[in-house]
Amino acid sequence: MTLRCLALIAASLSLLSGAAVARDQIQIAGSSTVLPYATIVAESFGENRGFQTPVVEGGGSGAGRKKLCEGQGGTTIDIANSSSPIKPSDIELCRKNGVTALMEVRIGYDGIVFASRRDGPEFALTPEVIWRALAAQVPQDGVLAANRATRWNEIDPGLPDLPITVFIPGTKHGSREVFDQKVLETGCATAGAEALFAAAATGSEEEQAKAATKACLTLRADGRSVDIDGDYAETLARVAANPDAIGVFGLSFYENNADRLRVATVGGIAPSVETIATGAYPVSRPLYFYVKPAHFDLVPGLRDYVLYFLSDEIAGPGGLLAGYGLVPDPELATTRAAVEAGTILDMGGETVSGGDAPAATQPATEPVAQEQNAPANVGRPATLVALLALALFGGGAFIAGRQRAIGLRAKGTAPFHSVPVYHGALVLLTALLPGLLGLLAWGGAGAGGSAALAAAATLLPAAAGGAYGYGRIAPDLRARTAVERVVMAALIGCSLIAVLTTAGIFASLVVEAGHFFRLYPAADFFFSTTWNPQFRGGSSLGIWPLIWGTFYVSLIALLVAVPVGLMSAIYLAEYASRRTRAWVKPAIEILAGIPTIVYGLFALITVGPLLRDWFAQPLGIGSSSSSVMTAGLVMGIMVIPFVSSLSDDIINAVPQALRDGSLGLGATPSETVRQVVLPAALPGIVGAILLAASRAIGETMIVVMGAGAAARLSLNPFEAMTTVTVKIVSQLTGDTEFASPETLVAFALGLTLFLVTLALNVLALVIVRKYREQYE
Amino acid sequence: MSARSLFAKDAKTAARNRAERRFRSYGLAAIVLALLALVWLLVSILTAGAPAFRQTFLTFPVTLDAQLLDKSGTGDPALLAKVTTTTYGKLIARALEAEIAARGIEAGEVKPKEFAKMLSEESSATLRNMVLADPALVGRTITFRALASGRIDGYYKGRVTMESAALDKNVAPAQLALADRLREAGMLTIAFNPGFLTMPDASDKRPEAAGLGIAIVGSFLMMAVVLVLSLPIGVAASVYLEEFAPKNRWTDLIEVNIANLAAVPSIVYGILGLAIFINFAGLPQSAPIVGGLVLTLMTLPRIIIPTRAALKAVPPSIRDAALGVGASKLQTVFHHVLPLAMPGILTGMIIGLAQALGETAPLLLIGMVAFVRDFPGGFFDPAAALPVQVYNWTTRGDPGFVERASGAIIVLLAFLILMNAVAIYLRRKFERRW
Repeated sequence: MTLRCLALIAASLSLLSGAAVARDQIQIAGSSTVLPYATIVAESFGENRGFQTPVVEGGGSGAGRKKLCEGQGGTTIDIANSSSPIKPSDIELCRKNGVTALMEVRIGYDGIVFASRRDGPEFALTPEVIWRALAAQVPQDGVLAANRATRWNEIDPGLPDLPITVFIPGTKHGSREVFDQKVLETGCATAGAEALFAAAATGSEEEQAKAATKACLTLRADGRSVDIDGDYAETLARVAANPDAIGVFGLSFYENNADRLRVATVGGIAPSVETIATGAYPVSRPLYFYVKPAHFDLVPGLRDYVLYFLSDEIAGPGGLLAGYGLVPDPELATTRAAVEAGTILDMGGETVSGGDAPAATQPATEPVAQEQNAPANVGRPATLVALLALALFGGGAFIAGRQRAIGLRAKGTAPFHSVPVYHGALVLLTALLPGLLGLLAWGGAGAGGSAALAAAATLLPAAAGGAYGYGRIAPDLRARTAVERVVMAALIGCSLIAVLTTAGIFASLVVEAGHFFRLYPAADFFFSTTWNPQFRGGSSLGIWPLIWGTFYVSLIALLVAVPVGLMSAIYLAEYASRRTRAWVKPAIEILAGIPTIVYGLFALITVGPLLRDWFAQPLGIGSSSSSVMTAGLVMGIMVIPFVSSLSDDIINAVPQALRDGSLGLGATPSETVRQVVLPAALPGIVGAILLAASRAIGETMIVVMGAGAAARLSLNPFEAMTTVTVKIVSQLTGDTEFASPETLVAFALGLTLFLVTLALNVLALVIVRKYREQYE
Repeated sequence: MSARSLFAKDAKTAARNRAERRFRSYGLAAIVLALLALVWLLVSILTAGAPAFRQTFLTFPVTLDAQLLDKSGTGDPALLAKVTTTTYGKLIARALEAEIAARGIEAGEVKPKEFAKMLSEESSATLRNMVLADPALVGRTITFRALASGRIDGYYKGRVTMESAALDKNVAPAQLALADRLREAGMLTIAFNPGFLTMPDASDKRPEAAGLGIAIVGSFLMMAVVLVLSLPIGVAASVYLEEFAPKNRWTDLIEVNIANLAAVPSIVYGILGLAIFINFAGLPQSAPIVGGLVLTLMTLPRIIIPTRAALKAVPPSIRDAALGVGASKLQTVFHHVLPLAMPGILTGMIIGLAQALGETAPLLLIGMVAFVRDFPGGFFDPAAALPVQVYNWTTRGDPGFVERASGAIIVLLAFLILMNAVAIYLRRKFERRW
């Protein structure tokens, strides 16, 4: 039964998805670094080339490459933007799904710059200085020792006498990889520490080198190096709030915010489009996109888009993108020639050509997509034609059935059991159901052939069923009973959708979480206290910092919402006049009707900066506008009505006799409330608070925009922390590979979240229900 | 011991009365706090967003030079379409330069060739579209209203100052000074910007041109899907549970289930949609149909609860009367109970739709965050959604987008107020006390 159900659902969904294919827009997804460039090109392409504007999505390099490799044909994307070269695992996935040809297109370079507040001093940095400022262990007089430098001039007398604080990209960012390689590893080697680290390690030469690299990349944990898991805008906000700090930015971001930032030189060279293009400025990374040549014939304008992107007026020096901070690739003409020649990526070997090695050449021949696409293209119109035909036929069947019943009744042979409408409806049903089954069978068989075939597959069974139903019309046919039985089945089916939804949620979470736990030990996930996803594997994904952040934010929210909500409920229920109540209650409930994105924006642009400038900074306990306090406060405002409305109902449900008894004994109204009404209403109020807590724990947008993205176990409410929901969003839309534990962890987090809120909800419901029964 | 009158308060009574007053004032303070929070929220969003509806424009005559635009002289639309925005950009730059010279406006340090940098990059595309829509314009001189660049616009909204401009590579103080003189001359105006509601999103280079057109259409399409699916399904499920379901463990399970689904975090529905509609069924990303399906699943339990309340409110006497004259149970429900409960059901439906309209988190996971410039032709075409557009704009690099995000919130709130007003009107109009 369940199997048949699933098959039915799959068949009907495949009918729907077949509908989706015929498209004339290029679809692009991937890296959020490439995203602004891609949108600029897409906009210009759409304006000038007579094709539709490509649809560009972010979502991270890993997610983009995964989508690219999902298969060939109209339902998959055409281009994946990527801030790092494609990984062997992606290629494996591509090959498995029949994507045998990809083109690698390098569009230019992204510079990584160091910048401090505009009114601060100048910094002249080198990789060595940065490494010495941030590393956990540094060589001192030829011996490794814990890093004790606290001011820049201790490292280099030429630097300003200021405390060291550096905001660097968090480990989920693609730019962190470049920072690690081009700054930390280089600096470590120049400082002569790599050799010392290697000497200190044991094992083979290879193991020693590995240990040395790892030690080079280990940063001090005393708060002088701060990982920023959010975007550059967050780094900017932190730097703007802290006059001594240095932040790490992308060149284009810096250039568009140059009025607020002062850029540092690295090795004496100031970063600019020119110095990075010549290679004089050392910290940069290549940006790519990957395109399926098989789609060139499938999606109109795809080839034109690629060539347009690579033209000199777009990606060349002085072109459109250089104006936005993309460093032009000196070998742009070579890449363009390769695309024109149809050069594709060598997908045979284990290692894949990175940015430096030229891609191997193979002619691009790809008939697969055409074949795959042909039947699907038929899908939508054919389904529509068939459904329309069926509807018309059904209407006809209904009228015919009813007319025949009317006619038979007029002859007056015998009294009819059902009125004619039901006979019509029964004929309609006997025609409709086989017809729909026929259509589903056609869909299940691959939705092949033309619209005529689909219509035939639908109408033939419908006609047979209709004829059978028509023939059965007779005075003693219990048409109404039969119709009502079908309607009843439909009603039951609809109420089962709720159960199916829960089952679907559970299944989708459990399956993917299962994949995660196969890659990552469950014990580490549930019991570790570090959350540190890494680019190159070896991540620590302990849930506790996230649970702590979630708990802390929710706690502050409840500390705001419970007193305010409860006291206003008491006032409204016990003191307020009828007229006050009539407008105050709906006014407070407006707070519950406002979308959470509004609260998120409120936290981001109003509450966060306010708390930072008036509390955190004067008190010297934080420099971040996104903090637990910001998110907690705003979320507290949001859940006030959840507490107040439900509590109000519950207080009102306390029998008046209890109050009268208490007041009659001489208690004041407040004593009555505290000593009689509240104890009587307590279980219900607890239920209301639990529901509010469940709401706070599951809330996403406020914490995404207000709480920050740093996973840490800290008590300071003015620090940025992160929650389970934030990490679900960021891991599913990050730069990591999809099939990696770093992405799949989102499903394990989702499962945890679902189970916790489920427990809270059920508990609250049971309490509230029990309580209601008590007084009803 | 002195005699105590009941009218003279002793110390303890006075203390109790003070406690009473304190308690009462706490209650009042709580309400005032909650209302102040509401006012603070609304005022902060409104003041941040109101400027998005006004935009800085430069108005000047442009001669659409046939030599440049229509070299063949045939007026063939296919050939006209070959002329790129670069050419139109040059045309506009030349026209602006000529107009400033003609009016004798002091240019200061701004080089004549750089006047056009004060305009939005969108303006050349706007002009091109005007010409392609009406090729007869070629060769004529038209009055053209161009969007000013985001920085110039920001100057009149207080976002950009002379000091910040001195450090900014996208604008120079001299340009701002010139803008002030253009304003005195009446060429530069600040006016209501209908484009904010009708134009599509724009790239990071032109925040001044970004609009909500596609987001509004996309949200509308999604709401259509939610309405069409959740009204019949929600009503059918409620009717069964309220009118027919036997009271046993199974129906109890379904009820707890529905109550729980109404409180499941919305992001979980996003994961569900990603796994089922996109990964399993292969529906397209960014399409309103997927967003609509996810929101339907999320909205259903939130509709079933008020619908059941509305059905419950219909007095049993109605059912008894119908059954008494020989109607079947289904006829009773569909002919009598449902029509009487309809106003309540519709009210619940509209409020459920309003909640769905403002939902953001699940849409982030199913790719409704895409950059889309072409209006969707149907439910399967890529589109954006209002609340997601707000989020999208807050993540952009240019500060000009923050104001637009707040402006988009105002539009979203306007839709919500409208929907809730309709719901309240329906409730007032058809409310019936039995």
